[in-house]
Amino acid sequence: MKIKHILSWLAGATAYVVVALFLMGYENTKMHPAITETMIDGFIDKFVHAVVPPANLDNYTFVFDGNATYSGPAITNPGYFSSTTTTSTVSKTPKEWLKHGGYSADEPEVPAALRHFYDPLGIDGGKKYLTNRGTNWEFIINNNGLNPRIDAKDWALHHADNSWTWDKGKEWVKKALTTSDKTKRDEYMARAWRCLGEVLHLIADMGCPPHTRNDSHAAPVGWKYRIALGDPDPFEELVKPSYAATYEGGAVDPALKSSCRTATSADEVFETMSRFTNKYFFTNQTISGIGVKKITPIIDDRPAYPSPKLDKLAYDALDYTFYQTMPGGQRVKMCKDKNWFSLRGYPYIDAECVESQAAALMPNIAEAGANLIRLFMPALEVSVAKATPDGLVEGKVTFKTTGEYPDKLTYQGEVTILVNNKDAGKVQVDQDGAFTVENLTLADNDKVTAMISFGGVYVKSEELEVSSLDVLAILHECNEVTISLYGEHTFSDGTYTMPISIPGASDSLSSTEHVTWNGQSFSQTIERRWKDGWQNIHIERITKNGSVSLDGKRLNSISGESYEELDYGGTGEYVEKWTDKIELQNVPLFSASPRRDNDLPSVFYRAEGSGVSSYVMNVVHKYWRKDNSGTILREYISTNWNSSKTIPKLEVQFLSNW
Amino acid sequence: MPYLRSFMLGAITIAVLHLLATCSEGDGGSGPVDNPPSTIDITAINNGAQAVEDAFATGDPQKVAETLTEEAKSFYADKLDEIQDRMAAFSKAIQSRTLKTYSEYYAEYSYTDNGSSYTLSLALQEDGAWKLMRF
Repeated sequence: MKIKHILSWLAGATAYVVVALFLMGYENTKMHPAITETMIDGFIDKFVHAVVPPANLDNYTFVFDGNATYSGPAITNPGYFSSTTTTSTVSKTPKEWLKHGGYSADEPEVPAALRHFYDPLGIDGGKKYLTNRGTNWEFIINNNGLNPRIDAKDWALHHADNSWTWDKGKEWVKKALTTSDKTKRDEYMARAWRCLGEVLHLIADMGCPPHTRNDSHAAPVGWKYRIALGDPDPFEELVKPSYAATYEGGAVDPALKSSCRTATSADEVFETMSRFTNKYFFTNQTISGIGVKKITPIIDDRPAYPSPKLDKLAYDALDYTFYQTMPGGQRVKMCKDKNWFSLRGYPYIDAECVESQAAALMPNIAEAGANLIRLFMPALEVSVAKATPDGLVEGKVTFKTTGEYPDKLTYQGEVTILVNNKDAGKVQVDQDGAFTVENLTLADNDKVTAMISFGGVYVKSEELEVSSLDVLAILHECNEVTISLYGEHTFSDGTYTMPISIPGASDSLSSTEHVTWNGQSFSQTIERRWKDGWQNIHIERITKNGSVSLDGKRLNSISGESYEELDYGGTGEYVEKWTDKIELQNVPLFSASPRRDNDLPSVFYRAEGSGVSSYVMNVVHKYWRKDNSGTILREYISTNWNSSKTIPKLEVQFLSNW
Repeated sequence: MPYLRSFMLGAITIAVLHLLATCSEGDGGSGPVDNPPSTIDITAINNGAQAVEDAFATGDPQKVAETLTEEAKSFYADKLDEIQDRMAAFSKAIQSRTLKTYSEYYAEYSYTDNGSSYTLSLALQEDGAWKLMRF
């Protein structure tokens, strides 16, 4: 009887725990999760759907919020300190993990509150961590021990005591890519997404003025010592989650955008975001400059920040407001100084200023966050090299190093083979990341692609048409290459319809002038100087190099440059010079013919129409002539890609003359 | 039925332990919200504002200082005496106040005087009282 009571008691206790965990797993409704959502939106819009995606995201698809969920440790019960915080294993989509990271970064709340500050200027004697009211923090947080002296940038990206840093997130990604166990891969990616979510929280903090201006604000409500940490900050208190979505599409600061887009590391993005916020925004307690009188900051135990300054802002006497016009064009209400007692008094930030500042900050936060997601992604390329009618498919998964992933690794997961976009089976890669499938049912012209996935990220190969033709083998037999760009070109002396070309050699090639092949890469150099029967001196220098795709069906890149000089009579009195340069990328195959009977091997890459411009990276043409009448210079300016008179066309021909 | 009581007792015991050991996310102030939680005691905010009005009505800088947050006390320390003669008028002016916005421990009031609008802000203190942070 007694045992039955105990069992009933235990059943009741268990029921509570189960229900409590269920109810508490999805509390993702506040500020940071809302900002995280705009960062994900921004990442999709700015990078995944970009006309030209970043190199590390070519052929990537992201399913952030699909049916697939990934299991990992989540904060299921928040607390002020780790002893009162509960972690449990739950399943979430990648988006839910990112948003959870936005929430869990603040857990446990009190220690987190101390480590989420980064002053890029180190105004307090070079210290970049929170020192404002540091004595109180030290006493309260660490039982009169040392201030941990950890700033938000270090805490978010690298600090060994933080289990959810950027560095640890990348480690989870690498583990996910190098395991052949799908269950483990999913678990690793859940952790990777949470790490990224926590980093996104901290980059959002870098868009919150008090976090970048060493301005402590009160700690969590209910925690009895909070008042020792200062009055609440109006921005921190009054910024609303809805502002994130309302203002995410606003103008981004051009310098911040440029810096974030060219960043090759998360450190750079953190530095850029924090400096932007520190430079352009006040907090209520760090206002300085000349207002109605000289205004010194309320926090007065260290120098005032060099910017912004009241006297550099525009003051509108009608609404007693200091305005700043941001480089992105927004006019921001920085602070007001309307005062009942003295008409104009000490400046302050009110709810209107908070919304105005949030409107300028949110698009920049979204830009910085989107770039962090970009940098977090490893660069993988999936390629199908061969697909033949006898059912053979060969390919490879290649990992490309980036600034954030400088070390080589080899993908060890499975590859899904798609024939005409239908799942034709899965295959495990070998230790080099290569894969081979035999006995597939394939017919000529079937389209074969290969795809890998990890944690909602899908990387697909280019489509390969089933063919018995081995284009790469044909290319390896070609020893000459020419480039031609046809169209209506505008030059400095008029508009003409004439080709701009990087030719082959003017006469038969010597063996040292042949195109040389190294796998998918090629190069050619021709250097000649000779005198003809009329004593004219000819100089010819032609260089070309580039690479093709693994199957040879795409010209990944080619750069050709030629210089020709003709000195009539060799006297230097009548000289002509031509300099041409053409750089192309991703040109599709037009035709390929193997050597057979009397036909020499050839491969043509070609594009035609207004779309040609997307393949052309650079064009140079200069013609110079000197004779008795003077000097003439003609220089290429542009091409009319939409011309109806002369349809633009580019052609790259690989040929063999033996 | 006798086991139901044990079942309920088990659930309640764990629930009480849980509540004692942790705080809810809402209480934790982990971030601002569009609509402040209904748990915020608006009456307490308004009581704080009323205490401010009453203190200014006395014209006594000492009484006004008692309604200020610690940081505000330090900021306004040398200014209260200067405004003593206008404290009562200010008290009247802020009778038109309306609570404009608030969070878990920050509140902003707006008020108008002679057709001109102004704001003041209050902050929640550890004893549950709301005190004047800026005016």
